[in-house]
Order: sequence, then structure tokens, then C-alpha cells
Amino acid sequence: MSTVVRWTGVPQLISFYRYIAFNVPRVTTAVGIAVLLGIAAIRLYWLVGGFPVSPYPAYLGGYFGLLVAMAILAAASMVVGSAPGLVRFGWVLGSVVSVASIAMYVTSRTVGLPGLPQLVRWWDYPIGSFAMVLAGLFVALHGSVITGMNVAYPQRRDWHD
Amino acid sequence: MVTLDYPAWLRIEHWVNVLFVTLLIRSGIEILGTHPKLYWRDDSKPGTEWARFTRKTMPTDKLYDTLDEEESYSSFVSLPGHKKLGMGRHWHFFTVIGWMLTGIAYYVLLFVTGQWHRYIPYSWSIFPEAWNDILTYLSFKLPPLLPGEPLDAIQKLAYAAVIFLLAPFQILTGAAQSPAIEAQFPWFVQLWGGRQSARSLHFFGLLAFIGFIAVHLAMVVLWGWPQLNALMIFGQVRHLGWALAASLAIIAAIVVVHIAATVWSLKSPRTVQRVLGFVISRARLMFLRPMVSRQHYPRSALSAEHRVNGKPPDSDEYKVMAVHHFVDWKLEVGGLVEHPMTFTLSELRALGDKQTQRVLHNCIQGWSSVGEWSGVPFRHLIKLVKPLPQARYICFLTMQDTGRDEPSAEGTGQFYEVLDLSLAGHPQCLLAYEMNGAPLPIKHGAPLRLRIETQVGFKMAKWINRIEFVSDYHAIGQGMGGWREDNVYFDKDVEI
Repeated sequence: MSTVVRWTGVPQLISFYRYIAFNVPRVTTAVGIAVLLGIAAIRLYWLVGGFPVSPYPAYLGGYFGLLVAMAILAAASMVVGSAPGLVRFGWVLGSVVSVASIAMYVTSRTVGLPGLPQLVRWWDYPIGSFAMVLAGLFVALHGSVITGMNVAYPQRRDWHD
Repeated sequence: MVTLDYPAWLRIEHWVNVLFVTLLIRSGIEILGTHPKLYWRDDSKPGTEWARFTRKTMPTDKLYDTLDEEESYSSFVSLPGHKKLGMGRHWHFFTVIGWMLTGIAYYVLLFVTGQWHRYIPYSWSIFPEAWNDILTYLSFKLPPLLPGEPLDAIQKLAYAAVIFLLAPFQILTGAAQSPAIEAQFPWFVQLWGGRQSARSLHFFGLLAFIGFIAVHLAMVVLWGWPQLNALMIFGQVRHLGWALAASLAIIAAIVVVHIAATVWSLKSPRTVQRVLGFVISRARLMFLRPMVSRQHYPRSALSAEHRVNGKPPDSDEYKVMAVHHFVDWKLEVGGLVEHPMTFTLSELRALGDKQTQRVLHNCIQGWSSVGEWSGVPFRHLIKLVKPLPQARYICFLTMQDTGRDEPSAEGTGQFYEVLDLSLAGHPQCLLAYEMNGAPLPIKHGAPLRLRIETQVGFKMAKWINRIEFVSDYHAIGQGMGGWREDNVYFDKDVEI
């Protein structure tokens, strides 16, 4: 069976990422922070009056505020080079924020959110799509760090050859 | 105002371009795989790469060379795959010639027929329109086309960027990796931040092309595959069923060409080397051969470490000579010369007029470094031995037995390289016995190696013990002009 699976080339395809490794930790972290701040900025914009539905339920304001705070906390944690544990926490928190934002957005457009029926099937909203792109980017970037394709500050590759 | 339609030349060039760009991408990945590491600095110092595309790690406790670092990629991503740098280079350079000719014809026809209006913006208003288009795409809708034009604003800007910026960028960053161009115009390679920077930028160009192709295909699907393919095949939106079938047939034909090129290269590399090499060599000799090295890097640019390609002779005779600082070594110079001569190392040193040059070394695999080389200008040797009129080539024979010294090499036998006699008169063609102010290290070719700065590194034979002037090289080895040409199908003339 394993021979058949090997013959299909699927294992090689899945493990293709192991041939790719970058040593740009500051760039990786800078991009991650920029993306998180972008996610936060969009929620802040919605929080201060940019949201297309007005008034919106109070819980949504709380969600926007929480997301902004968590995204900023995650971004700040990612640069504390002296505390690698805190940096890892920042990346994980950033992914949690991103996944939560995607889940909330998709839920609002599919099954709907309490008090916001008008958002269902409202996909033609550029800033919302852009927020999803940013969230997807952060998850992908964090995935590249987890798989070892990238390293994030303050880590560096120990390449001697 | 010209009607911005789809004339036959534009449609033909589009599909030819698809073939060329895909061949360039696959052969480029093959070349990258031979030294799957990217740097910003010209010393290519081990460990300083910003990206690597390999799972190999090299030992710290024994000598390895850059041949050991080569990665073998699948034929699905590289042409032909399986660590065939010689074949990858032939396809890359052969295709780039076709691609550039296609591009020149495309530029000329665009401007002669007025079709340039479809790509080149002539109003600042296109930028806010392009922004609106992006917002429209983010709304999962299709934006309006520009009035009387076949593209929307963001598409027009994207095509203009690819055709007039990205394509020339790739050609220029590719050219910046040519040792001949670097040797004649050192400022040009510095313009890109150096040799390794140019290589890294060339890689970004590759990513940009791959990204463009992905978005382009997505756009064609979104806007209507049959409709757009009808435009690009028939010139009009008609016979949609046939357009769909024809587009798939064209793509299948391109895939068949890729498969044929791959199989041909893997099964019969010698014929690929001869056929493609015939075309490439003529282009090289016409455009790059006239270039002469004029490099004088500052001492501060010297690389602390110089990578190694090829392992030293592993014979008792060589080791004994090395222990005695090569006092017993002799260089025989003969063949088609009036005065065959033999030199010891001290006699070579005593010839006088020691020449020193600080130059950029280009390995065929892609790495580089800056070294200072000192020795006898080859033109001095020519004056002493006086080649006969029928001498046209110089064969450098070395003490390296590849079967013995390079067990992982694809071939056996004495290492040799053949150089055109015309190159030997170059001011920086040198028989080097010193490197960075010290006797030439064993791993870099002691006691004597060749330096010819307009060529890639493998031509600069190391561990030389005999030089023959010959009228023809086809009876030497397998007749291709050198051990690497014979065994790994490299090109004989390697100005790029």
C-alpha cells in the first residue's frame, strides 16, 4: 500500500515545502506585524463608525474592540526578542485573531449574526474581502514558520554550509 | 484611433510566449537547483544565504565541494530535472534567444500597428480607475473595460508592467550574471547590487512571472475561458465550443513539447548539446565573445572564503609534490608551437612581470566570490613558445583524475579543458600560482591554475601540468572541448 502511495507522488508533493527555507526573520516578523495591524486597523475603522450597518448590536462593538486589542497585543509580543515564549504566544494569538476574524466574517455572510440579517450573502464588500485576505495571509505566514520554511525574529538559521 | 482587436501576429505571439516562458521557468529551476541557495553578497559565504531550496546539509569536518551541494529536482518542476545543469542551461539559453526575438518582434509590431494603446497608459486617470477595479474584484464582481479597449484599467497596468518592466528586468538581471558582461562592465553588475543580488532579483522575477501567470489564468476563467480563448485563437468571440477545444489542444501541444524536451534531454543529452549548443554558441560568440575583462576590485572586496568546485588530485605523486611545495612539479608546454618548453614553479615565477588581478569569480552553478590572483599573463607564455599558424586552441591538462578524485562525478578520466587561442591574449588571462597574496592553495588548484575572467569557473582548469596547443579538439576526450563538456554536457564557450 505504501508503495502505491509513494508511486502516486502524493507524499513528495506534500513534503515539497521541506525543500524551501528562508532566513529572513526580521522581514517575516515585520510582515506578520504589518498584517496584524492591518487587521486591527480595519476593525478600528468599523468600531469608530465605518461599519456599513449603523447602529450595530453592542456585542459586535465589543468583538471589534477585543479583536483590535488582541491583534495589537499579538503584534507587540512578536517583537519581544528577549522572551521567545512571548514571541511564540504572539504568533499563536495572531493566528487565533485571524481565524476568529475569518470565522466571524464567514458566519455573518452565511448563517448570519444576531441582529444583523442584512449581512447574509453580502459578499460584495471590498474592505471585508481585504480583511479576509489579510487574515489568510497571517495564517499562511504563521504556517510557514511552524513548518520551518520561515523563521521569525529573534530566531536565526543555524546554517554553517 | 486603432481598433484594439486581436490581430493574427498578436495571437501567435501570445501562444509562442506561453511556450517560451514555461520552458524558461522549468529550465531556470533546473539551473537554480545546481546551487539551490540565494545570497545578497558576492562572496556567497556558506551560511549567509537568505533562501535555500534543498534538504542537504554539508559536513563540517571534511572537504566538500559545490558539486556535493547540487539538488536533484523532479522533471515536473525543472527541465529536464535530475541534476542536469548542462541540459538546463542549454534549454534556458536556447529559449531565451527565441523569447527575446519574439519580444522584439512583439514590441515592433505593437508600435508599428498602434496596438501599444492596449497596454501603455496615457492618462493619470488610469490609476484611480485601477484602484476602483481592485475594489470591484474584492467585491467578487467584474469591473468595466476601458472604453474602446479590451482590458480594464488594472489589467492594462498589469500587462504593461509585465511586458515593459518585468520582461526586460529578467533579461537584464540574467545578463548581469554573465561573467563576460561583468568582466567588461563591472559597473553594470554593481547596478544590481552585485552578482548575487542580481541572481536573487532574477529569482524574484521568476516568482513575479509565476504569480502573473496564476492571476492571468484566474482572470481568464473569471471573464470566460471560451470567450477569451476565442479572441486569442480566432480573433473574435465566435465558435465558443471550438475555441474551448482549440485552447485545450494548444495547451496539450505545449505540454507535449515540454515532455519531448525532457525525454530528449534525459535520453540523448549529447544531441541536445550539439543541436541547441550550435545556436547558443553562435549567439555567444557574436555578442559576448568580444568582451574583455577590465576588473579591478578593491582589496576590501576580497572574499574571506572562496568555495571549492572539484576535489584535488588524490595521488601519492601529487601529495609528495605538495609536501615539497611543488619544487618537483613541472609544466610542459607543447603541441603546435615553435619552442616547446618545460617550466618549474620557480622558473615560472622568474619569468617576471607578475600580474595581479582582483576579480569576480563566477561558478557555472551560480555562486561567486572575489579573489586576488597572481601569476604569469598567458600572453607572455605565448611569446615564449610561439604557437604555429595552425594552432587554434589550447588544451589544459591537469593532474586530476576524476574517477579517482571525484567519485560522485558523472564520468571518469583526466580532467582537461580547451580554450580558444583567441582568448589567451586577453589582458586578464593568467596562469595563476598565487591567490590572495599567498601560494595557490591545494583546493584552489596548486601549483597552477588558469584564470580567464570572461568565462565561468569550470573553464579555469586547476592542478595544471601540461598545456598543448592544438588545431582541433575533436579527437581529445569525447571531443566536446573539455571534461565537463564531455561528461556533463556543458557548453564549450561559456561567456554566460
